[in-house]
Amino acid sequence: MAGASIWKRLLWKEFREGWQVVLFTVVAPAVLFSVAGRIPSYLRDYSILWGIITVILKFSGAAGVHLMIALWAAAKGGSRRSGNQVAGHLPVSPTAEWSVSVLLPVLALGILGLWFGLFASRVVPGIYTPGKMILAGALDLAATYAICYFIALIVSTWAAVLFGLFRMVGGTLLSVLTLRPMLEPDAVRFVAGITLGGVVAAFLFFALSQKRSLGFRQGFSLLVMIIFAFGPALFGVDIESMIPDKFEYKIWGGSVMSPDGLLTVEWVLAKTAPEKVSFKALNRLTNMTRTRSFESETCLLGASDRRTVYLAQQRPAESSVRVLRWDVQTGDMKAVSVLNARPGVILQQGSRLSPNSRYTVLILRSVVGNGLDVWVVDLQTGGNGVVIPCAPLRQLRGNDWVGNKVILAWQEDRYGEYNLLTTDVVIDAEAMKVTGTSESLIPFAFGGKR
Amino acid sequence: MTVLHRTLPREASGMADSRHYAIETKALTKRFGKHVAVDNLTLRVPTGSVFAFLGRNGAGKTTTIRILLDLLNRTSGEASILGLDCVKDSLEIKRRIGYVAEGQKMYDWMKVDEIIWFCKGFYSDWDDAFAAELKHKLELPGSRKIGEMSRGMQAKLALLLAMAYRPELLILDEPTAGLDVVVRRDFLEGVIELIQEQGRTVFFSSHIVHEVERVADWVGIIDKGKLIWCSPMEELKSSIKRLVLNFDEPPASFSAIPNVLTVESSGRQSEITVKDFSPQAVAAAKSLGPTDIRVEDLGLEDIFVALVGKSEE
Repeated sequence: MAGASIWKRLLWKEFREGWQVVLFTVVAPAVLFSVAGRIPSYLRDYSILWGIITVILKFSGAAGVHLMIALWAAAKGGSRRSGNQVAGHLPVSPTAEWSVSVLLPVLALGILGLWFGLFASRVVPGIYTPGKMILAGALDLAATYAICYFIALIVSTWAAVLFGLFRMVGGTLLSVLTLRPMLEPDAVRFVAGITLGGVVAAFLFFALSQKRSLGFRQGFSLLVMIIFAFGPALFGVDIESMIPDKFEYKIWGGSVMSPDGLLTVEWVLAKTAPEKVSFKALNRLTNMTRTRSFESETCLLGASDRRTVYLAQQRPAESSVRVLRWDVQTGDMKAVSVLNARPGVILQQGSRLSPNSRYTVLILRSVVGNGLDVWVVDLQTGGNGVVIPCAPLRQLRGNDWVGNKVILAWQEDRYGEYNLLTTDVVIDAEAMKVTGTSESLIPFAFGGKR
Repeated sequence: MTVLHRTLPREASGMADSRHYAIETKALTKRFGKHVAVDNLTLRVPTGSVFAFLGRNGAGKTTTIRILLDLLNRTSGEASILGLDCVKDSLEIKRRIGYVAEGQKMYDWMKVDEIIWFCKGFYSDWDDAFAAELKHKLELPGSRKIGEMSRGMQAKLALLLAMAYRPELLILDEPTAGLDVVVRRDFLEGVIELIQEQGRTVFFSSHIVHEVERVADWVGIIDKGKLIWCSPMEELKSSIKRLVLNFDEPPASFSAIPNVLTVESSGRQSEITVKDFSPQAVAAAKSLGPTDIRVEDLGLEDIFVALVGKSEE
């Protein structure tokens, strides 16, 4: 009964002291990040004024929340260190005090961090699956509290405030300790260490208080904190691997729609392993979705109707490319054509189906030097052929079809000049061969050197 | 200077019986680097006494109290409160004692009634009626925020919080520091009244010596971390006296008088403060040939100055 009474009061005090931080952490990201996220990317990227506004909104949301948490933790840790608060004289066990003052806020901020991360992901362009970023937000807020509380506990309130400020604006030199982990999912492993280290080290400091000298408690808990924070990096322990794949940070790759507009297909890439790609098809008529993931390089060619999607896949260490037909209604996947490409070429994104969905263009780039092979594939017969071999180009950003003429646009040659490339395609259905009959390079001034 | 523990209920070689002593330390030492804040302190506070722990600023009073409350770790020695070890049993000790610190910080955002409710939960012996009585007696406004109250009011509130569960021992560390004269007197009178009603042990530190004279029945004096005196108040007063001597020709030295603490000479008159006053001291003074000799009682402040001054030498 007495125990319940103590817990009730401790929790009441924590709530009364921290509700402003909680409120700010709930409201600030929701408002500031949402507003920033609604500013179109072209405005953010090309308008200085809108760019500054976006940065201010993002920084206010991220730094403001962290600052509130840092100040809160520093004040609490500092007052516990001085032992000058009423609570220092009350008969409370160190474990109960630690649970309420350290563990509970860390867990609460972890939960709030999910919310924070969710909104933060809206202002980072290209995030498709924000799972890992949300997780990073949770760890990040919890880490700010844990580390600032711990520093205030063993050093001073001001040291914790300074560290909190450094964590927010200190930036790049010690990225592990800054906001960068918020935006860099690869750093999640370090933040997890800091969070865990702060919580464990604070517990040791509290628990040891009954038996050891202040210097010993400070030194020992600091050592434990350092081991947790930097140990994984030093000893190559990958905490991140414990994070389930479903939280993997993914980038939206793009989408296509079938000519009848009934099927949309989008693809996403894993941030840390771009060769891993997932395709998600949505039949807008039936609202049916189907997802397919690949471990190796796979490109979306297009959707021909409400149930048929074409993909091109090149397996690791193979030069041949398979063109796949995916029936999203049944889930069947079949190879319709295999391109016997020359060795040393890799599949490049940016292919499209012809308007009648009969043909597709595939672009294969030489891994050594410049040179693109442009292939055309007959999706009905499986016939394929190189229509432009070894074009002296470094890259090619998409193609379009006008009748049988393929316009391969926005090409950059070895001299850094941009050109439009066109070719007429002749299909020899009998021989199941596709050849290009002519090609021309049209100088294009916009964006190029000329 | 030899530390005197006088009129103790019982002497023992080790830590003595907790029934007799509310607080007991043995060779307690605290070092901060090279600085020795508390030096080999052996102190016994009899149960039921009102013990004034006196010393100048920085003498080691607060450090001693913080060690007793396990707010600070000792370098060496032993310390117990109510027979319990100050480190191992600190939680139990906190349940059974009341503590008011100098300028004690409380949660500024709480209202008086809120902090009373908050602290109540930690003590099974909390007496609601007594708390209400104290609140009324100390004129504390229940709906006022602590941060909006004067320091005097805050000190009174701290006293309420330390007493409402009727602790066996009340430790007051410079409770009146920073308060004006009227509030200090008010506070101390409140303490006296409550103590008289309670009949519990009170251990309080102060450097405002004259104010504790009316309150305390035991005195311990600490200087530079060392305990230089510990006895009942009356024994202290009867032990230290001032001899006022008039001479036609003042002598060159007063070394014939035993246990001299201080000597102040002005013209033909000399004032000699002696410790362990006895008829032999008067006889020794007479042997110096004064024309007139007078023995004066001293106030606690004069005694304190004499003892601390001697310690300084």
